[in-house]
Amino acid sequence: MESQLSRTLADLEEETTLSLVRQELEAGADPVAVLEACRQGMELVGQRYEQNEYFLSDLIMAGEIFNQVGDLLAPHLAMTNGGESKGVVVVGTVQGDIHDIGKNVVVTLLRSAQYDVHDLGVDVPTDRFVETVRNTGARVVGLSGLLTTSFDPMKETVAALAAAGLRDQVKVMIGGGPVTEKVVGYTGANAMGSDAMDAVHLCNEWTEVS
Amino acid sequence: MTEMTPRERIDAAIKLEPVDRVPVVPMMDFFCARYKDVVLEEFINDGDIARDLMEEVFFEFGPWDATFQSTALNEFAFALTLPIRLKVPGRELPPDAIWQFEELPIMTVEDYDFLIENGWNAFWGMMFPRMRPHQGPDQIPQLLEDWNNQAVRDTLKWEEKEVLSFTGVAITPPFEVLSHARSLNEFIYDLYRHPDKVMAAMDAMLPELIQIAIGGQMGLQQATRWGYRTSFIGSTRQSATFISPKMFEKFSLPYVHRIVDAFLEAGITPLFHFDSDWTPLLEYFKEFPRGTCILELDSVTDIFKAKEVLRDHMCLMGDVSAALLKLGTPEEVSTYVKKLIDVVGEGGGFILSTGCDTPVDAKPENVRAMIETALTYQNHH
Repeated sequence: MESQLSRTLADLEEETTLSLVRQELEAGADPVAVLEACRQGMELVGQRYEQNEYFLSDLIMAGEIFNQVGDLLAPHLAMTNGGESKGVVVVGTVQGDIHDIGKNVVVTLLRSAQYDVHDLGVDVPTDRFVETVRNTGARVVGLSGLLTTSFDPMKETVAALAAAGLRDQVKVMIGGGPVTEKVVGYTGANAMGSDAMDAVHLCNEWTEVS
Repeated sequence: MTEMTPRERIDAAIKLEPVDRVPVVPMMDFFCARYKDVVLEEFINDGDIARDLMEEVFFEFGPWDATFQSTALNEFAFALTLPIRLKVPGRELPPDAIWQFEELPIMTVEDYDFLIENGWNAFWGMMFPRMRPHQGPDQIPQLLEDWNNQAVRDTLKWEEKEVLSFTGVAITPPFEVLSHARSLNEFIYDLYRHPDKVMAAMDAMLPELIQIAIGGQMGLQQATRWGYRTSFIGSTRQSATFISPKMFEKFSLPYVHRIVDAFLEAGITPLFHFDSDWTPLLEYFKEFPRGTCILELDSVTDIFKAKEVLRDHMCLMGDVSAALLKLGTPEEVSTYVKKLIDVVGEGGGFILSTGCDTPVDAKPENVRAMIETALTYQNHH
């Protein structure tokens, strides 16, 4: 049953997946196990994306299904632990920029990969990144921006993390349309991602090492 | 080879015929304001000021082969091509900020039915107050007239200086229009949940979209000496950055074909201003007639791969990137421009341009290096 759930989610069969989840819950299944099956489905989605079988629209649809599964499971998971977290990641679109499509896909994929994501939204001032990192003990910060004018706020955010004494604690990844390796050097970030799966890989790499 | 006029050079590039040098047509608007210390609020709200600034920069750094646009896009013109809500400098944003659109589903799922029944013009009229909450539909006729007058006035001004306007009239393919009106995520869900309804809406809107574009192009041609050289087809979300080739074949390609067929029949050159990654979709461009269209890329698509695939078939245009113009050095810009001319320009069929727009905060010395190198570098194949 669980593998069927993983498969229907991976095949982006929205209605079938949601009714399977409802059936499982009604039958008294462990909500953590149901969530795990759906996570495995999301992993399959990620693999298909990397094999160029799936594209961004498929990731977005998978994210929508996964989020609905999350809503169905939430009341049941509140009574359990909801599974292990791999760590805190703070994500936001930097000040002056209100684009959020790419950022939102990153948030969904990181959540499905068991990260505890603090999504600060768009047009996020430098201070809020610093505060949130301090308060959550985050190990990764993701800065997003679709404009060349977002390079400077990215740079300022990295500098502010350093000024607050938090730079050694966190790795910074940046992403968005005009971001290239050159921008990594300019902003002082650790790395860039050219798509949402890169963000998951960077987080896995950085949280496994230490 | 004897020296060609800019018009001859551009025409030859489109037809894949020999040129005396690669034509140069960068897109440059907001940069002109920043460079000349004029706040973007003023540039966006006063078309005459915007045109004069673009013209000043054109002659200061160039002249090059054609002004990409004779008229700076204003908020109303933006709404004509994309039904979205815009945050603009001086209203929702600081006076010198670049405008950005809000990704809001201002169109509902039910609105597909209205569009299917009533067509594009009625739909657009219904959407207008949702795009521009501060303006009423009664203002549309005046705004439309002002915009048309501005376009004619600007194009004539450029023509007085013997400068050709590369493009002006724009059509946005149905996929792109709906993905903005619904907001990207909602539209993607629609493609999975209601594909037939989405396609019925696209079928319903396309004839009027085409009619408006051709009418605009012909109208400007009659009111000016040269008119616009090409008609702009803007696209991002039909690219492989967003959708699979399978989805592209179903929801996008047939409609682009219909636009191209109608344009070519009317004697209009389609300019595919196609941002994001089209690399996996390049083969499809072989379906369009040889030497009739331009594929303009923004540096996310591998333009060198595009040359391999579309050599001797379609004129390419691009692609000095925004990041390079902002963060690079003049030497790096110059080296890249030479590479473009040597590799993509080899055998003809290339127009040198920026990858999408010149960023507002580009380094002026980089913009200068791009233009100077492009105009003076001679490649000898």
